[in-house]
Amino acid sequence: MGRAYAEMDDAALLRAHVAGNGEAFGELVRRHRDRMWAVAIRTLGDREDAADAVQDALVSAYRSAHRFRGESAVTTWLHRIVVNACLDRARRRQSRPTVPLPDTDAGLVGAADPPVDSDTALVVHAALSRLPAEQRVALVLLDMQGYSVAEIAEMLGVPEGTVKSRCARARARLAVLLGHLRLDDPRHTDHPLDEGNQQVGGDVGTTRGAVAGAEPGPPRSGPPHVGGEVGGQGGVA
Amino acid sequence: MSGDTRHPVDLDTLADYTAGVLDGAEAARVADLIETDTGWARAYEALVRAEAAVRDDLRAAAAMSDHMPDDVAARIDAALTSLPERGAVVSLDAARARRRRIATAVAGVAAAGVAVLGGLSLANTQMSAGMEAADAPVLAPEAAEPPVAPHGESDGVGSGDMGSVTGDSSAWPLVIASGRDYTTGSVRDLWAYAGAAPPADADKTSRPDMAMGEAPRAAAGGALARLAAPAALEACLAAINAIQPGQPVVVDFARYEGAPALVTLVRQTASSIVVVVGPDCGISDADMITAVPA
Repeated sequence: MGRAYAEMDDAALLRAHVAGNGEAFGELVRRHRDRMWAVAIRTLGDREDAADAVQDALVSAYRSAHRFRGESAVTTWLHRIVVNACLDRARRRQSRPTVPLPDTDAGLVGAADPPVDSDTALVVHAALSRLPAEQRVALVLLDMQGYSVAEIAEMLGVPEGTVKSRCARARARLAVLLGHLRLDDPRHTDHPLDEGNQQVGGDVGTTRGAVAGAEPGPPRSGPPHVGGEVGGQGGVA
Repeated sequence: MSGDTRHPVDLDTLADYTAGVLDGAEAARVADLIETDTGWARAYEALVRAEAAVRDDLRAAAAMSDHMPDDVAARIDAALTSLPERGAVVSLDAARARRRRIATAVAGVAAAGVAVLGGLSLANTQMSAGMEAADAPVLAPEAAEPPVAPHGESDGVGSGDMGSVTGDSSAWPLVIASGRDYTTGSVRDLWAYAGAAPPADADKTSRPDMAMGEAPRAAAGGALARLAAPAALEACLAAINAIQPGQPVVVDFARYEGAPALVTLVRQTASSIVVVVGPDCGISDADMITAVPA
């Protein structure tokens, strides 16, 4: 029977599970768990949190499989549940922020191929952990997991324009954290990613190559502007 | 580009512009700033270059191994294995009977003093994260209600009847308010409470010799206060039963990883599971935080 399951596509496996075939869901999990794990560990940055989120998601998927209508790919449906479980957990932990770093046990380091600078990966994951959860999830799905904007919009239940906005803002923040972009205004160099520090009075420059070292702009009055994300299909709000 | 920096650069707006998601008027305004303001022009050029570098870094990080660790896979397999098969038939009559019995039990709990969860009365017990199980205030049914027998065998959750219970007294969960802050690794400690069946009369449920600390009082009477209402707790237990069918053995008004949570030990057909739910349990779903095989 195991071989038969291995030859079934995802939708057939899910139907078999709903029909009461006990091993079908396990095959589905085995087929996709590495990608679900990647989403969780890259989104949450903490091994235990990631394990809990994936477990919660799979238990939920197991229980709600009968509600799957086939309007999206099974893997998209599964990832949507995982992503929401990760977001739930990330929001719960926002009051107790951590800056976790993946270790070799987290499944992020140690691949023999292709050769990759593990230091870069560690730094990138540490920087990712400092992004707002919604931005982090969108960016991980798009730039690391290879999903399309349309697929991510479906997973997150938001317009495509919102996905693009979250990703663009996340990249801009990461650019600062990773040293590709420098906020020159000394008033904002301590914690450039804190809410309220996104509006800079001076230039934004790169630390690699030409740096725009302009003079600071005029003092701001009133609260700093942190614009709400842009929504709307295709980005035309 | 012709002018000096006159307007502070808004990085989010600039990022949205590069992504092409601004509407026409706002996009035109930003384009004008890039054209006329030195600061915006340099920032735009720098951001475009930096975004490409960030994409390269993300691609490099994504190339790292991301296999699910074996122990995590085993844990999840175990959790899924503990669930009833999807094809199992639910007895609606039995489920209704169970719902009625839970309602009765919850009403009894309230009559006996579960109102403490709103800060009104009941057992005053000094507790801390390291408290002993027996120190938790027991919010037990009133004297007329049957005692809890958490370790009884007749949980009635037989194969093919996920929602049923037998007619014996073991149907009643023990309701406590430990105020403890659980973690994934410690939720199994709930078994310790399961071993301490509440007294059969209301007098013994009260622990006047102890004083409830502020932390557990806040945990129980704050965010979880809504669940102190019998109807709300009934709805919550029903929602838990919908995703984790079985016999609730212990219900603890507590915390999980710092957040208020209802931590419930549920005995299932061949195993047990601890279901952790949030303050909104029973409103639209169980507000499940996590479920850990027990």
